[in-house]
Amino acid sequence: MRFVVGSEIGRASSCRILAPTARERSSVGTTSGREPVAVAASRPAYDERYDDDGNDEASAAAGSERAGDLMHVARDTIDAATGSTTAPAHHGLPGPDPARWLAKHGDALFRFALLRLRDRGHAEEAVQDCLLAALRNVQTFADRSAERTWLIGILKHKIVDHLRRASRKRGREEAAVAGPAPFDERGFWRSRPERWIEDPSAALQREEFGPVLMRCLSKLPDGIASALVLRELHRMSSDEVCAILEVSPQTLWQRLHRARLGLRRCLERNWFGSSRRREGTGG
Amino acid sequence: MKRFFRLLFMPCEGYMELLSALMDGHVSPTDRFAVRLHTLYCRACGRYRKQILKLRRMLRAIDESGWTAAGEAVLTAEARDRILQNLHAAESEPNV
Repeated sequence: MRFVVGSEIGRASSCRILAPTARERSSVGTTSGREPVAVAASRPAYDERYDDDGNDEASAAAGSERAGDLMHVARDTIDAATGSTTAPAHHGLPGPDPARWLAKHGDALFRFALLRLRDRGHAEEAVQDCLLAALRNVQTFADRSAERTWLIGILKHKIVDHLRRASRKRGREEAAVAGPAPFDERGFWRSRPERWIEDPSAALQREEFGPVLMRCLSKLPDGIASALVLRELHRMSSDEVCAILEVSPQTLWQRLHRARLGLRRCLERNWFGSSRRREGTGG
Repeated sequence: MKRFFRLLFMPCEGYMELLSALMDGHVSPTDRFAVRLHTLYCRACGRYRKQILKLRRMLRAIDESGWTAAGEAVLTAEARDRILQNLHAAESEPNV
C-alpha cells in the first residue's frame, strides 16, 4: 500500500494573527487567555519558511500547482488500491446505490474516520452520516472525481462537525497529557530528546507503524487531539481551527504545543527512539 | 530590545512553546529570531525542533491514506447492518 506524500503540498498560510504583547506572550503556555489578537498580516507559517534543511519551501502558486498534481496521484493511488476507476457514478445509471457504497468503501471510510476520531462508535456514526449526506446530495457528484474521493470529502465535513459538537459539549476543561512532564519546575528538559533512528516519513511506509501511531494519538486528551487532527491531518489554518473549536489563538497554540510534546514523546518511546520499547505504548 | 533580552534568559520550555506558536500562526520576527538563536546553541531544543517539524510533515502526509495508519480496522457486521438499515430508511423517505 502506498502513501501519498501530502507534505509536499505547499500551502500559503492564511493566518492573520499578530504577535502578542509581552503580557499576552506571558499567557502563551497558559490556557487562560481569550485576549483579542486577530489583526491582518500575511506571512507563511514557521515551518514553511524554515524547514529542517533551511529551505524556503514552495510559493503558494507553485504549491497549489503541485497540490493539483498530487491530487491526481492520490486518486490514482486510491483507484489502484480499490480497483475502482474514475468513471462516472450515477450518470447513465439507474440511481444512487448506498448499499454498494457501503460494501465498496465502508471499511476505508471507517478507517479514515477512526484515525481522526479515535473511537469506533464515533467513527461508525461519521460513516453513516457521510453516506446519508451522499445519498441526499448525489447530484453534487461529478464524474470527473473518483467516487471514494467524493465520499471522503463528505466524510471530512462530518468529522469536523463531530469535533465541533464534541468541543462544545466538553467546554473549556483541559485534560493533562499522561506521563511525566518533559520539563522540570525551572522549565529545563527533564529528559532530553533522543536521537531518532528513523525518519517519520519513512516510518509511514511500514505497516507496523500504523497501529503505534494510532495508539499514540489515542493517548492524547480529546481537546488536544482534536486541535492536532484539524490542524495537521486536515491541514486547516489556525483561524479555521479556532473557529471550529471556539477557542482563542493562545488556547489553540497551547493545545497544539501539548499535543506535539505528547505525541513526540510517545512515538519516541515506542518507535523512533534508540531505546524504544516496541512491545507496548506506555509513553 | 528589552523584550529581546528577556527572551534570551527564558528557559527551554518557553522557547519550545514559542516554537509551536510560530508553527501555528504567531508572527513575531523577534520571537522567531530568538527561537532560531536558542536552537542553534541548545542541542536538545535544536533536536526537538527538527523532530516536531518532521512529525508535522509525517502527519500531513497521511492525508487520504488514513486507512493504513488505522491498521486493519473494519466495520463490524452489526455496524454495517445498522448503517444499511438507516440508509434504506432514508432512501424510502419522500424528500430524498
